[in-house]
Amino acid sequence: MEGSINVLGAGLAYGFAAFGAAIGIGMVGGRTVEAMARQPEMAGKIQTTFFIAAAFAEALGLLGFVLALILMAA
Amino acid sequence: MEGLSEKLASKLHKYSVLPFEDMYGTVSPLDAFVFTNYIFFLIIAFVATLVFFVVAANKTALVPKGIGNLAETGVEFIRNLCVDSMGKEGVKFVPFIGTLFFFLLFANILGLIPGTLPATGTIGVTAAWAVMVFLLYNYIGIKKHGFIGYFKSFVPSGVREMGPLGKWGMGSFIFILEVLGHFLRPLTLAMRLFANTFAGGMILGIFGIFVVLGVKEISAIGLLSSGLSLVMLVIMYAFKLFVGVIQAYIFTLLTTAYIGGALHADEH
Amino acid sequence: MLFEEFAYAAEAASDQGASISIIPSLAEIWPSLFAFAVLFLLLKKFAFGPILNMLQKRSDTIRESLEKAEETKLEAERLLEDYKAQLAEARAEAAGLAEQSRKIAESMKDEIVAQANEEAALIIARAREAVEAEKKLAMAELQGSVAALSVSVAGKLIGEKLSEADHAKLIEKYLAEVGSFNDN
Repeated sequence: MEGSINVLGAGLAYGFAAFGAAIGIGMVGGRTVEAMARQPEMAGKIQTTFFIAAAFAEALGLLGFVLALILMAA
Repeated sequence: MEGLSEKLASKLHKYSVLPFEDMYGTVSPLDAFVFTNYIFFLIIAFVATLVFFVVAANKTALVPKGIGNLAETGVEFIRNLCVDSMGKEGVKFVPFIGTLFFFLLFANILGLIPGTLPATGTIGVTAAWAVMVFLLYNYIGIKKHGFIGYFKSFVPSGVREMGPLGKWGMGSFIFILEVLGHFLRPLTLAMRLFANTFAGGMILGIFGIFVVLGVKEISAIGLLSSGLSLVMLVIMYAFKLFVGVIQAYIFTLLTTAYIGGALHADEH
Repeated sequence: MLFEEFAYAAEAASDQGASISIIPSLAEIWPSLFAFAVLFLLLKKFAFGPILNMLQKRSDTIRESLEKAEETKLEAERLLEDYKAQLAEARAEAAGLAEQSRKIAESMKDEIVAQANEEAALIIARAREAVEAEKKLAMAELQGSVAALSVSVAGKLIGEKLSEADHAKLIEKYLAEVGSFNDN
């Protein structure tokens, strides 16, 4: 059972990290849809920018994932 | 739910890095000459990409059709991607970006076949390519703007024009942040691809286990959960196909964006 | 419950020698880099090069044929203009010719009519002359016979013989009067 506290920590770490990243990506995605609806002719550029911005937000979530794996192994 | 932990353990085992000919062996990070299970599927993806493109390239004609047309559409897509983010000089990066995208795409898609592994599902492969991209775009930036010029461009021109306090105080702070950001790039690039592919595989595995376990418990609830899991399994397969394509695209897109940023480092 | 199972699973997995490590293994780094490099070189030579060339060639071909079509169109328009101009010229020429021939015909007609008129006038004049001559001749004859007749008539009426010379004077006188009457 001593490993289980690590697993708990890992789960919480990833959960919180994903929480923030999800909010970030959701906001970026929502604004992207708004922008695309307003200017459909710019859709390609907006989409590219969306992916890059989402990548920034997702990077933090990924750091949480890494932390979770480290905690699992610890 | 008897037997879940064993099955999960064997799934995790299946998705970990193992010597190809010995399922019960181990690969330590420093063993350089072990033929691992992921490398086997990497070679399959390699061969598939190569065969597809060489066959397609021989089928190109002035009036395209069939496989030649497909490959041309792909190459044109890559060319547009390059030109969009790097400008006119992007065309000479098409072979690199194209190789990256199609290798990733074939690896991701072929990993969907039951019994195979996606070659991108291991950190070794994704990290190697991410570091390669990192080195490449920094090399391009330094080559284009010079060593000093490239690192100077990390600090925005607005800060560089401030007084000495702003210039050195805020400038160095931004510089450190930028350098950190640059080192985070290969890390996130590698982790994103690995985590998505690996987690996708695990999710499929878990739903597969639920289907089997549900059928084993010969009861109404067992059958119900088994059926629901089967539905979820199918949905997740479709989702994983989508994720496989989109992750290959994101990896490629971010690579072009980084190279484009390095090429136009002096413009902000 | 489920959570414990996962914990056991993780432990069991690591017991089996599996490790979901985020430490990349050298055994995967160099083969993936090597595979990428080889694939890059092969695809660059055998796939992307030819395909990019083909794309370039196609866009060139399309641009060329568009330019050619534009040229051909311009040429055709120019030819059309030419033909139109030529046609107009020919039409004008034809109209001129018609006008000219009409004029010639007109003048010929005028000439012929004038000649005919002249001839007619000549004929009429000749006819008139002839008639005049006849008339004079007839008049002279008539004068002669009228003189002799009048002398004999007057001699019988008056019963007195006039000398030949007086007769002649008288007759001449009356004849002149008659002739002048006749002239009027």
